[in-house]
Amino acid sequence: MLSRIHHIGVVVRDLEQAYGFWRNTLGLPVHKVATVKDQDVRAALLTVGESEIELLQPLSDQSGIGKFLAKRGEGLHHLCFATDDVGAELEGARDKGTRLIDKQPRPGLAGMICFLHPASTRGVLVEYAEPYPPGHPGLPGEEPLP
Amino acid sequence: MKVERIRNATVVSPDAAAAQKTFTDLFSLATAGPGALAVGESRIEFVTPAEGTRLGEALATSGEGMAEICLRVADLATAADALRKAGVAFAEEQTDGTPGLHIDPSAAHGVRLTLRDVD
Repeated sequence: MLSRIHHIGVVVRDLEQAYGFWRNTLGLPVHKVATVKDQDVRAALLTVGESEIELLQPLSDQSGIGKFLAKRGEGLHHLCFATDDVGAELEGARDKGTRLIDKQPRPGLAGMICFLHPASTRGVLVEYAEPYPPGHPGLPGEEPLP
Repeated sequence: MKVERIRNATVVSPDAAAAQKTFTDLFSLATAGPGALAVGESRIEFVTPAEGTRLGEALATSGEGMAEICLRVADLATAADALRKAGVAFAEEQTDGTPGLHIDPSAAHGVRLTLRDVD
């Protein structure tokens, strides 16, 4: 069952530059910054109510986020729903004939995650995230908060 | 400025009703008024925009997809003051009688971002 928008992903060229608007002007606090090596991105999570804005800075032109930035520029990237059972959501989507990007959940910054293909979701790149339980170390690569 | 929550994410589509049905069927989200589904404290809104509008431009250039997000703020006048002091360009507009501040996407890292203080 989907409980809330976990986060909305936004591709930016440079995290530190993006803080000027998202943190300093809007006042959204940064609560996590990390380098996700297998995605070749630096990501920052900013709290907004029960949700987050996830700023994504590519670390290479060849990464998925780097290619998005080169093709479409900065902007909205994906919509992530929080769930308490990412495996069940993925199975349910598969049973409904939804095209999947991830065949099984994998560890991500937001928890155990998987992506659905936007061809099945009206052009919206949708992610499911099952947040890690309290005390879980999360992904390696976490940085001190700015 | 106090930003309280994500008010809504807006999906633009040539057929907003069909797009809403896709999300209803796939994600089992409850209806939250005409053209909207509820998820937690937020909504997903579905729009078929008119040509020449901000969202119409998004549909024409990027196709069907998530085109805008709207953040709920505590007070719109306070938010407008904060944007002016920060030198952020924005336009004050009403949509269906609901006032909002449309922030210039160049200031919001390419994001079409609206601030509203009512649902």
